[in-house]
Amino acid sequence: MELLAYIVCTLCLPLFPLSMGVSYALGKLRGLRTIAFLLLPLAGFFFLGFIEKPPSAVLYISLFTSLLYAFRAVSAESLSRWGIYIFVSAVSLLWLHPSGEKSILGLFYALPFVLLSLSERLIAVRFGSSDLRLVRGIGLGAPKLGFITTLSILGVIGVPTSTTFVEFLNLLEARDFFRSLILSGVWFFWGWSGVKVLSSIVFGSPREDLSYEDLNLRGSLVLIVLSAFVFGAGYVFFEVLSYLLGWRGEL
Amino acid sequence: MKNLNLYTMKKVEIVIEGEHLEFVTDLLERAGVPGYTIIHNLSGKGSHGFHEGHLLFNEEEVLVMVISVMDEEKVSVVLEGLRPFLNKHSGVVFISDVQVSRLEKFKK
Amino acid sequence: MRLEEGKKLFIRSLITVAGEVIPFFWPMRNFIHHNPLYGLERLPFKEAVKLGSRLFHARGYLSREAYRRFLERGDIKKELLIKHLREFLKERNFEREQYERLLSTLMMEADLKPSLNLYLNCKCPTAKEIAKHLEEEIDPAEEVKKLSQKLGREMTLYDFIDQTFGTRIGETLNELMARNCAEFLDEGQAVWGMPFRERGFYKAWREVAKRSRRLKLKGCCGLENVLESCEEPEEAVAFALGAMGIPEDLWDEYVTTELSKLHGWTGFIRWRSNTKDYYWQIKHPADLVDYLAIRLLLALSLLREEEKNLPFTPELSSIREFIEKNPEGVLIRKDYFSGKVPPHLAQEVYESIELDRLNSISRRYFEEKKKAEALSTASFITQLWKEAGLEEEKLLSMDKAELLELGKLLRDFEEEEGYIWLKAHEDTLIERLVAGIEAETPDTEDRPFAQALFCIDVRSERFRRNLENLGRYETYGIAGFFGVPISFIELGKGHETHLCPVLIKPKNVVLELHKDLKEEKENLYEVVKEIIHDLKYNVFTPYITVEAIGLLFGFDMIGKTFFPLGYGAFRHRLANHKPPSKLMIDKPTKEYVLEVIGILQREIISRAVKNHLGKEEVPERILEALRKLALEEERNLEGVAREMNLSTQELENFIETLRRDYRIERGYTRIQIEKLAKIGFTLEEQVFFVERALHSIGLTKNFGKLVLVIGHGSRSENNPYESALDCGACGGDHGAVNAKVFAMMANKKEVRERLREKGIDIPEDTLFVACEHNTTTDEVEFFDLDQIPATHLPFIQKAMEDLKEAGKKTALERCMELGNDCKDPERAFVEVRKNSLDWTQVRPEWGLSGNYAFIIGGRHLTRRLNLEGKAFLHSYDWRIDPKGYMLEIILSGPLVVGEWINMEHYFSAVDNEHYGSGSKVYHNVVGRIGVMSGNLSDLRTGLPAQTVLKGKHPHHNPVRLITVVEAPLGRVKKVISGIGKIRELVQNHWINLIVFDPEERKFYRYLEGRWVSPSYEEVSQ
Repeated sequence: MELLAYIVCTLCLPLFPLSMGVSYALGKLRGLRTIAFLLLPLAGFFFLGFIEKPPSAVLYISLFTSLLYAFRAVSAESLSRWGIYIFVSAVSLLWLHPSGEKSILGLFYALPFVLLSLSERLIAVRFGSSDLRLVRGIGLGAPKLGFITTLSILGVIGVPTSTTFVEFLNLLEARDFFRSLILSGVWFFWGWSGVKVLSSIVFGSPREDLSYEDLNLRGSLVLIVLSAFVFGAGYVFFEVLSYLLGWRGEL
Repeated sequence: MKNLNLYTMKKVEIVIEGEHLEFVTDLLERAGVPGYTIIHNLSGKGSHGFHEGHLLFNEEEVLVMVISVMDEEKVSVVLEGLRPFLNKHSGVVFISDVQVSRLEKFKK
Repeated sequence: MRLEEGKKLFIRSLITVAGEVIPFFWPMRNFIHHNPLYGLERLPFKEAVKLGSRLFHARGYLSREAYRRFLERGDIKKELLIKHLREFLKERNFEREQYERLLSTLMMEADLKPSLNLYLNCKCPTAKEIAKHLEEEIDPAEEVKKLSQKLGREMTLYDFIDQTFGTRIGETLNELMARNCAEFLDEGQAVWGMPFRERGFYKAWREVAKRSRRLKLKGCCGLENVLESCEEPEEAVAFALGAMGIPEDLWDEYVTTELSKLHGWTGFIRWRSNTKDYYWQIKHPADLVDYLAIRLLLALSLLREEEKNLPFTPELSSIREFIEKNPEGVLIRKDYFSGKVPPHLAQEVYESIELDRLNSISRRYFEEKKKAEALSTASFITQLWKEAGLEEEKLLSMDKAELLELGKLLRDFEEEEGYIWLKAHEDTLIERLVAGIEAETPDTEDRPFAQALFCIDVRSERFRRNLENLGRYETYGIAGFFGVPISFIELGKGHETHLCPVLIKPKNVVLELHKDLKEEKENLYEVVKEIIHDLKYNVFTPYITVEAIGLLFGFDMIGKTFFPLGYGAFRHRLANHKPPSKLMIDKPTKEYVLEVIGILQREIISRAVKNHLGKEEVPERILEALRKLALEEERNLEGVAREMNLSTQELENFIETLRRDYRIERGYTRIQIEKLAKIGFTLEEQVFFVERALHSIGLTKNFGKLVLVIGHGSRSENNPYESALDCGACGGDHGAVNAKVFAMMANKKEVRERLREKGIDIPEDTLFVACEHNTTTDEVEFFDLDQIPATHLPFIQKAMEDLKEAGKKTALERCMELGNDCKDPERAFVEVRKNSLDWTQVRPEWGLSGNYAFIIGGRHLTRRLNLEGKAFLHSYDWRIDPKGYMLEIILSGPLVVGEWINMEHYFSAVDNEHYGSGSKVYHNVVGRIGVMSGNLSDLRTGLPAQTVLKGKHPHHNPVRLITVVEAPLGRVKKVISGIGKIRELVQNHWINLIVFDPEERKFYRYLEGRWVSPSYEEVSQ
């Protein structure tokens, strides 16, 4: 079983240098990417539960991968590319998660990325691409879409109280200084790159030579609900779940 | 006439719109000419139409003339400096030979 | 690198001329409204706007959305809009009805625009059909030829590199320059100023750059040697332009482009170098040559640093070669980095650029781009066609030629649209105005109670209307400086302020003195004593002291030296706590002037004696002897030498020192006498000014008991733009001083005697009273009340009450426009007062926002109109001005000022981000001279958003000034043809000129060289 788990986890929770392949593949997917963003952490996390204690080399590679992709995210040229890098950066961290947790938590780690991917798709459909040089000023041009995009970006970079935020809190351990240092670096780069992307694509004046089509009300409501889960539910769910399952959280 | 010593120099006369007066005088000073005289409130006709002469609310419109006497070498310096200006603005420059008696006044 | 004198001058000249398109920027302490495209007024309006758009990256017309709002509000009439649309179509031979329907739908109803991403979601089969016909081949080689042409002219080298390689050289360069400018041009705001500034901008920068490590880190490698060899800025410019490979015949265009990048800072430097007596310019000189030298050197070093990442050397011919060899690559890169790539290709293009594999995708790229563009245009046309209610078959049946024509029409229309809206907007307002103007010249009534002279400023209109309704008041409009240009020296300050339109230099100086001085004679002594008194307690070297005193007679910044912090924002506060003062307007006699100079020189000599000869308490007699010796009025050295126990030689040396270092010498003294002689006005001058003013407004008889001379100013807190709300005719200052001076002159018996000889008979019981209208609170302050004879006190009382009443009514109107809570005049009065004192208020008053008309003529024309405080009103009586001299004065002076104000508002309203200064909320005052947005940016020019916009919509009606002149047409034509500036403004359509001929009782409008009636019917002229 452990062998199977290892195989799945290596595929789903990418580590350098395999991460290059995963990143490339994700780049080629379009509509399926959202599914991928959902399934990869889910599956990976489920199977991670079967691995007793990963060798420490793996943990170091995981930290390295995460930091590397977080750093690359800063120079991402499009929302799509940025999303992929942050995803790889986030998911490779899951190796660090203390084992013995229930797998469906993987769902919650996936949620912000699903939301991001959906936003990105909506942008790509309307504008043909989410390239940062191309698309600007969605906040004013298509306010509902801009709002959702903002929420999704903030959710992904670990703004309280998103699930990513909670995950970070889980991973940061006061005892291990080195690990905390790297994780802080990762979080820092996420924040920096996220704000950069945000200021590019959402803020600013809308372009005169682009047509901005906003979301319809129904679509945006669905996404708002999803955002709620990303933000509120993460925390609440954790608390409720840990109570129900009798844990005391690792925080 | 008594024994007057006369020296030949060049007289440069520049007619321009009032708003450019400072530019021209600045140019002359940088070129190192010994001095200059300004005559205000000219009228005249050129390729741009007639210019009224009397004092208006708006001093930039009126024509002025700047007269300066200098060495021959300085003339080419001044003319080169004026070249870009005259390419874009209305104005004329006249160079003539002139004789002066008090040389020390015109040499720096 | 050494340059010849001639070459240096050539470069200097070239830069000066190239910089003329950059508008001046006046320091904000005295905000001057001016046309940002002032340097382009020799071009017709439309062309100038187009060129301005390129130079300043700004829009010249409002957006369609904004115009539609005006349409809905009725400020643009639909019929007039259609009319101009028809003209547009007629010019292009597209007169069929369907095109009219198409374009009018686009303008007024549809929510469509041609955009880059339309082709993505177009489901319409029609579009796909016609798209095939609309495909236009892209020839990369041809396209890049145009690009190559632009390079070195309107496109700098780093512009090209930024646009094709995504670098940020331009941005970095701008930041560096902005910082350098802010540091050098600071006027006392920084605690720790930049060193070496007295050497000039370039030289100071050079000193710092040679030592600066930061500069080295920022990639300015290889600069040290260049810096060493280029001592003069001209040398640096020649070197840099040569190194960049720009040939001399392109220099002037290139320089203009470089200068326009930070036109706020360059505008300020331009102004400074043009204002020779500006204190800070004397202290820290800077001009455009300096600026350009620094900028070009920094650009060069940034380019050199980037060189290693580029496939060419950053030099003109090398880049041109690269462009020629790789046209496809260059075009694709340009498309990508400017965000114009067909979106579905963006990802691919990015990857190809990263891997440098552009050639492999280039053919496919251009194919797809061609298709995408055609499809976008096609779907735009199809959607528009449908919305216009036209049949699709018609569209489908068009052949290729017709479709291409249609495409071209739409592209032309995109460019023209703004102008069409503008013309319709103006026509609507003209129609309304002309309909409301009353033609009848009324007969003279019996003696009115009082006349009131207001400034032509639009804010006076409301007040005048409300005042006239309260009693027998005749109001007049005149430029707010009342025709008297003054150079004013305020109490306690040692520098001049020019109180007149910036087009004029005042020739007379007016001093402000303590009120208590009884004897006329003592006035100037007191000024001098005050200065000397302060000198005693300052630790300055004798040289500075002397410069300071000497400079007093140049009326330069003595106030600065002694009261460095007391300037600027504190000036007004000082004004509120000033001791009672009076103005000295009469000329001192020559003897008096000489006496004063004598006193000062003796004081200087006394100090010199102390410092050089170590003697104190030297008797007055000796000081005078020394003075006479220095001024070559005496020759007897030996006698004085003996008295002072010095050898003749020692004395001679000392006298030389006096002449050389302390300026006690003949020539300099002559200049000082000239300067002092500028104080005050002679009787002739006083008569001249009063006569001209009264004549120009047509007030020559029938004077009331009072003539109120009302200047204006505004009061607000925490407002860097405060002086924008003040009187433009007074150079951006308050009008109080001019009003006082004018009233003093007009009240003088001798002046009135002379005026009587000239035909202006002012009755003995007429009193001129100076006042100031605070346009933020609508209060009117009366001055010099203690000078008023008892006989007139009851009249003053009545006038005060009426003015207060009028003020309240005016406040009510304004209050409602500001959107405040005001139910009645009383409440409104309180509200507007609060506005003026509230330091968080970003809009203390609307000011001149909304100005659209300038009316020159009698008050009867507009008496019954409510112009809502949006028109300039200048009084003029055509009957007493047969030769047109007064009209000349009005047209060449106040009208030009009006045009400046109007154009400033126009451009700040149509593109507030680029022509205006953006939102006040982000403003940071820099160096005490202006504002930047954020902590480092270009100096912001123009008006802030809060002045011309309400929220994001324009509050101001952006139209070109609608000028109405009441005078015979022949006279107006003559005057215009005689004055170059006005001719230019009219012929190039910077203003809309309407003439009301009172003899024929007809309106004429100038339109493209012809005179038509305002409703466009041709009139035989």
